[in-house]
Amino acid sequence: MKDFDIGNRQLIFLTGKGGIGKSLLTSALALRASKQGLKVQVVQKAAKDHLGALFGVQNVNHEFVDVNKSLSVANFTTGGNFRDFVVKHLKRGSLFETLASNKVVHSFFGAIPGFGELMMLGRLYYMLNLAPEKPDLVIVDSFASGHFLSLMTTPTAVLESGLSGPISKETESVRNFLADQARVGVVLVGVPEDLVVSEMIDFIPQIDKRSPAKLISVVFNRVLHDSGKAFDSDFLARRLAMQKSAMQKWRMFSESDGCKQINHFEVPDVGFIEEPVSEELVETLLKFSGRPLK
Amino acid sequence: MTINPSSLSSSKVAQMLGSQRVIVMIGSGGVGKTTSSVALAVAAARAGRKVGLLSIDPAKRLADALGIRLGHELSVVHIPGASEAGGSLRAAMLDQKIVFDNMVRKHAPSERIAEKILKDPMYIAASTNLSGPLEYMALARLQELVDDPSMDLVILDTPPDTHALDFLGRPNVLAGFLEGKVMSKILKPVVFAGRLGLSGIATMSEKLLGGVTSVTGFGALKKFGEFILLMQEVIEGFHKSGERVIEILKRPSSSFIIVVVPTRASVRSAQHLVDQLNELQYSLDGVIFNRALPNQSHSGHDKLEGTEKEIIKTRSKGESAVISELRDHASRNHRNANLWTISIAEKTEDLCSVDAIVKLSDELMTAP
Repeated sequence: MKDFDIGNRQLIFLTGKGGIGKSLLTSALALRASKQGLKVQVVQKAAKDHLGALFGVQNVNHEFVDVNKSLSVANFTTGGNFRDFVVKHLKRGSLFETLASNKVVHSFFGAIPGFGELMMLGRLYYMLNLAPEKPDLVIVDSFASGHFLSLMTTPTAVLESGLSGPISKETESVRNFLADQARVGVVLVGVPEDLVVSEMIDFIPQIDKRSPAKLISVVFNRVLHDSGKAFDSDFLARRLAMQKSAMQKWRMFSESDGCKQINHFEVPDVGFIEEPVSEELVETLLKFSGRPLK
Repeated sequence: MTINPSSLSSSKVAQMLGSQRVIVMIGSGGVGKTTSSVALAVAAARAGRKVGLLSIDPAKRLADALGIRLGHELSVVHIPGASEAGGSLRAAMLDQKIVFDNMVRKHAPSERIAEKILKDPMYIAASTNLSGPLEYMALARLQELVDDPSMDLVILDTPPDTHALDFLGRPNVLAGFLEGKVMSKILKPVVFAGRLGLSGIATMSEKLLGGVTSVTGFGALKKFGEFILLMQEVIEGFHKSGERVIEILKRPSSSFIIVVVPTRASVRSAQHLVDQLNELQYSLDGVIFNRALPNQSHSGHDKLEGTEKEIIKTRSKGESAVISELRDHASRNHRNANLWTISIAEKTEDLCSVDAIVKLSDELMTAP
């Protein structure tokens, strides 16, 4: 098994079904990378912040909050992204004042389909390509599967719908950036359960076909270590049986011709996650079957 | 309504299923909310009630297993033991895209415009996660089912995020962008006399729109104008049903149930839901903890060794802690003296079959 290696990529999206540990993995990867000396920014876009507690910081909103010297976290909003686009990117602060001060215009943008997604991607593009101070790595604790595809298909949809003006020009740059496999990658998070694995198997070809950013690996969370010795706990024994059947299904898929030999990595089940995520927990989680994360 | 005597149990869940008219299930994504909703509906049907189930979060495999068609039509679900008890279950899993497409067809000014919108790449990309019409449909359906005298109980499974309550508490959540008829006044000329171009906008003395077009281009403005006018029809309907639905949901015969898993992250978002319910003055009747460590595993981990012991021990301790934290939070912040909490053990088998759901429904009914 190869090490879980994001290479020199600068932008990583984590996606997967709700409630399987995307945020936990996001925080573990970010803490590890920052410990290795990278300047890391972690981004989410949620109705309510769900990363602050994992990092032990409060009041995480659109502006970045420092976790340590080289790690910060934010919860982006569409309005904030739009302001950043017009003010920082287009450098038209006065235009924003005119636009934003008007409720109708504000609402108008909020109602445009795909606008929130486009602003989010544009903001990520800006952070890594145009900002005066660029981070080494941006990790996006991204949306669950269906919504993630909507996010990723937005640039192409915008370009195909015949828009003009600055948004269209920027959108093309954003799409090209996302498609740069040396810089951008998607990590799919799952758990070794039958239903979840089936959904992942359905989802992977969709990413391949529709998303400009490509899948770089699959991570299974809450994996029981199978030492070959039977579990004494009846509950864990039954869970292991379920895990084996799910992983069998995964192997059949990942070794099939249609699948481009996707690497997968296993994060051990540690029972219960306490917050904030400790250094020891990061070590345990990212050991990946005994091998450290590069 | 007749109740199967064998199901006449004193459990709080059984009492709720026997007496209430509406049950609303809320919770964040991935906590088993849809599965719990289906199991409660099955339990009520088996106890002799005529149940309608509306899910806004279609679980495809579960729908297939139970024979529910995705869309907005009700499907009859055959549950063993239900008709013997005089009960029945009809269920609809509202699929966002299907519902949205139907809305466009219904409200677009012409078939030509409808087809144009349906083929628009932006629309296609966005229609899977723009929830307005779906919520409108869910509320309209909820109201219909509650008004239907042949229905004893309606269970509503809400969208899976912390916004779940927005559409119940503020049916005007989407109306912000309409601001009455303002949008329509500004946009109608843009849409229907698009050839006027930018100068046309200027003569409308709406320089603001000039600002907008400098960012999006004029084509975009026209396109979005069409879309928004279309949405306006939808939103107006949404407004009307919204107000009446709120009245229904505030009746004593309506119950809210939070579904959660015993982890720090999930309990945190559940606490937020408790606060929101309280703020919006909805009742909170109970909390279902899914995927809990099985009861028998809580004791006896001393006999285990190594990783096994570690997993069971930390889970036992951590889960007990967050369960009581949520319970405390709920009783402190939401004044319901009769609030119940039940724990459902983590399942190690596939739940996508009628048999598995029936088993789970029995577990919910008899949980202490």
